[in-house]
Amino acid sequence: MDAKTLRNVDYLLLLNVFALTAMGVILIAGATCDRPDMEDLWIRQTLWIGIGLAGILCCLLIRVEWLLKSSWFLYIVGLGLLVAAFYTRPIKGAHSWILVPGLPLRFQPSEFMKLFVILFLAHRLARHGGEVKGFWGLFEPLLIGAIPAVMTLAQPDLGTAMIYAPITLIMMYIAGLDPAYFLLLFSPFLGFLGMSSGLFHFLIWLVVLCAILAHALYREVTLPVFVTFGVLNLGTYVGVRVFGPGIWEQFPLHWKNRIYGYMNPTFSTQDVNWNAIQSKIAVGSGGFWGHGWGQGTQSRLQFLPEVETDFVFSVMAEQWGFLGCVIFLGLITFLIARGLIRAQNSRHLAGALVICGVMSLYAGHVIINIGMAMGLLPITGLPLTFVSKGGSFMLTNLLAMGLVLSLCLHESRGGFRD
Amino acid sequence: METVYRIRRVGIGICLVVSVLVFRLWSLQFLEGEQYVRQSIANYEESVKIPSMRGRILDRNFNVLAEDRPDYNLFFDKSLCPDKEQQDALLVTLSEITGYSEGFLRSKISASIPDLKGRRLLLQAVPFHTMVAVSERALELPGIVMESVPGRHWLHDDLAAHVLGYVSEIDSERLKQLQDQGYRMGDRIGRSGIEYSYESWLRGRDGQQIVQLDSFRRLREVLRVESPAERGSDIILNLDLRLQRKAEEVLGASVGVLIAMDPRNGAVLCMAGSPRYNLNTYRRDAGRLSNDASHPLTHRAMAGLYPPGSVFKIFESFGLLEEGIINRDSRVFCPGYFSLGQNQIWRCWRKYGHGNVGIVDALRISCDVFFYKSGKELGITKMARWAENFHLGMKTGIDIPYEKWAPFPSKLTKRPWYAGYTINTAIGQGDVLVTPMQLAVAVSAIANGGTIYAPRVAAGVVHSTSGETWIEPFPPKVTGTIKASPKTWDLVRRGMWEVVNADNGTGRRCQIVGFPMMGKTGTAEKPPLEPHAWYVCFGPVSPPVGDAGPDKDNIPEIVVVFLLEHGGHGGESASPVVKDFLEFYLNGGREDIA
Repeated sequence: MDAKTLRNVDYLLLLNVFALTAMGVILIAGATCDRPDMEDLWIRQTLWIGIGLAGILCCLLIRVEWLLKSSWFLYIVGLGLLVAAFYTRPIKGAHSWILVPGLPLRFQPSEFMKLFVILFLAHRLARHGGEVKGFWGLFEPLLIGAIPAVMTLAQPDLGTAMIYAPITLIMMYIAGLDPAYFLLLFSPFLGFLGMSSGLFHFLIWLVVLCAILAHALYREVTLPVFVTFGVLNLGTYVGVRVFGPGIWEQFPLHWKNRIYGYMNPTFSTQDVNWNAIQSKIAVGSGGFWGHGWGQGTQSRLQFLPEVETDFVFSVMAEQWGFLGCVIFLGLITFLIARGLIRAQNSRHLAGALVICGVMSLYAGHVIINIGMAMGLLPITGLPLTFVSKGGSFMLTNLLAMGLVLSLCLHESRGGFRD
Repeated sequence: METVYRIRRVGIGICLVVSVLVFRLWSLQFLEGEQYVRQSIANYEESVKIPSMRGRILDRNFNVLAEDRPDYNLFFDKSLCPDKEQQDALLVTLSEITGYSEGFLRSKISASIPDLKGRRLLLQAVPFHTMVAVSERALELPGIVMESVPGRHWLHDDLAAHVLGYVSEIDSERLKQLQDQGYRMGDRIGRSGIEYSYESWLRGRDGQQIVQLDSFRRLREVLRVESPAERGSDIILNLDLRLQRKAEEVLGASVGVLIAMDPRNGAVLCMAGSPRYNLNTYRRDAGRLSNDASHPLTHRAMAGLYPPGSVFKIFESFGLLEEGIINRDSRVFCPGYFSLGQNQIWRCWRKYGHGNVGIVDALRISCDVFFYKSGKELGITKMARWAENFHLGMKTGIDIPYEKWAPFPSKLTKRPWYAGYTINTAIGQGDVLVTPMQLAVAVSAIANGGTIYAPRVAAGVVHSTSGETWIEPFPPKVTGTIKASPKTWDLVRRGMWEVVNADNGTGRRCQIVGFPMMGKTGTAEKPPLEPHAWYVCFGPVSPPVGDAGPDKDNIPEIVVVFLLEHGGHGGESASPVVKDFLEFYLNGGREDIA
């Protein structure tokens, strides 16, 4: 790589990433400043950022199309690692980590799996050339996303499993999936109307479903797809109708608590809603300027749990106030917007899909994490991009950025062949 | 081109969602911000008590009898000593210092609940030498934290234990009654004696401070003091430390009571009862004390009921003379016994009788037959009325709780009433029961010419507001007067004068040169045991002359009532002890008291 190439690196994106990760480190240091058990957390975090930046450099050196071509292999390796995680000692009851033998190091295969899924999806979706159709056109990307999602869910890690949904769906949409398919995709949820035995609810279900199916026919959905969703819908409705009332009792207690808590936001006990309410108090008491670095009673007196991961945004809101949060949101939104614009300008569909996948990964984490912290979404436990503690997570995000920068760099140097 | 539009739509969608987030952030921090600030404060703020120092109890010369001093409590803080081996070593060292076994200390740690600072209470109010040893070896005891809290200390252990009373943590029953007065769980409250009756002065006021707690309810810092603790007011007693100590010394190991009172105002100069108990170790000894056969917890001076024996004859004489049963010249022949009908015989204490006796002789030699005969003529109703004139059978109204009294026997308390009961009552036997304090009050009334004062143990309260200290005295309280003719006064006083000063007076062993006194002995039969020995007296007095009645300008300065349970004859065993006590009074401290 020569100096001319280096000049073409999208430094705006890179600077943005620098700023965001720096904010993250400062925030983590402030959140844990009087927690003796987490004193050196920000140092480890800095170390991981350093490793991640080195990773970005590596990404710039290689060409993403090579990765795209071997993405099926990466995907298989990722699945293998996910399986391997089940055979290692669980940490905090979850099979999320693989311990590197002989080293005080562990990593989360589910994080890196996100990258492999993005690459593999981009590779497969780009084949359709801008219009995704047919049974396999719909179900192939769905399967690619769903397999690792189900495996992650089984670890169990609900938050990380969930993030595959926006990535897969957004990438499918950009690859040219007809919006009619989205209506079909979500139609089985109508089956929940079957919880009620009233005739009125049955009629609503019937009418809406018929409308969706009719619209699908009008958009020339192929017969296998049509039949599949017809059966799925009927199955869901009947299933819910028969097992629905009993299904609630079958849920684990903490699921029930979370759902109940989300439905009744003011109800608070140590089990139900405690975290959500403490998080809202932290955000709300921040005000415009915040309490200042390392200040703020909610985080300092440990009313707020998981200050270094799930509720790191609440700490930001409490310590840095509205101002700090808006700066953070502005930076990350700018990053996503700029990434999407670069994707728009791309002449290469697979590359554009990778960029869009990465940006939806960022957006998904940011929106879900912050929505959780502010009581908009139920608590599921999802880290905040570039800020939350976690080596694998930080490295994944930075490598993803590396892929984006590499794509942009080679695009500006004349692109590559499809 | 379609792809470009789709990417744009995704971008716009993301921007819309982010703007929803910003709106939510704004609404939480600005629209509802105040409410969340309040909630965050409610999370960590807690109001905590600052314990107040209890007021002291001082004797009449401002010697401290009871005061608050720091008690040292030992806590174990696990966070300072997380290492298991270190903990074991620590317990070994601590058991070496305190003498408690390792197992006991370990069980204390596991049994106690961590407090606001995350510490567990290990030992409460450790002795001074333990405190010193623990602070000297602090380096070997990394997890041990010492904290001082105000604790009650009685400087003379058992001195005037019944009078001072003890202090302990409020129990749930009293807490329910006193919640309105600001008592809380764990507050101290006076349980008996002065500590009880002057609780509202002594208590002071606890302060409040606002502290910051973390989510594990551990104290982080004190934010502000809402109200500082106010020290309780000191109470000054009429009691004199030296007299009290002497009284307890003369009582020694024997069971009895010695009360000294100022007849001019009802001030209690000393109020000794024996046996006593040690206030400082009461908490530990309580079980043993309440099972002790000699009842050391009973405040005999005001809660012990005894037959007054011959001492009662003084008060009866007032009835006899005032009701006209006898006069100065009346004579009764005493053959050594008195009979009523065929089979009923009452013996005089002197087997061979006293011959012809008048009222003065009868008092001097304590002739029973004289009072049998004239008492029968007086009748129980009038006898009881005169006894009640002297407040026998009534509460004295002393400023110490749990006073006892028994109604004077009469046709109301016992029916059917037989003439024989009247005869028993006439010499203070039978059902007559009085407390030594009741006698002290009645004798004081004779000494001061007819005024009955409620006895006062406390003299006043020391106020200190804004740097100024002043004493608010408690005024004497008159609860009754005795109206009798000067002739009656003169005859009774002459009899009491001769008890002490005549050669054959029963109280002659109590004579003190230069300190003329009047008195009366009493021997209350308690078969099959030895009788109770009584001696009451007051001085200094001038010899009675003529029919002038009591000298109101020259009231005696001290009344002594002495009781020795099962002590034998009042004249022989009680009066010499009183002499010993009064000589001490005269030789030292009389000026302080008077």
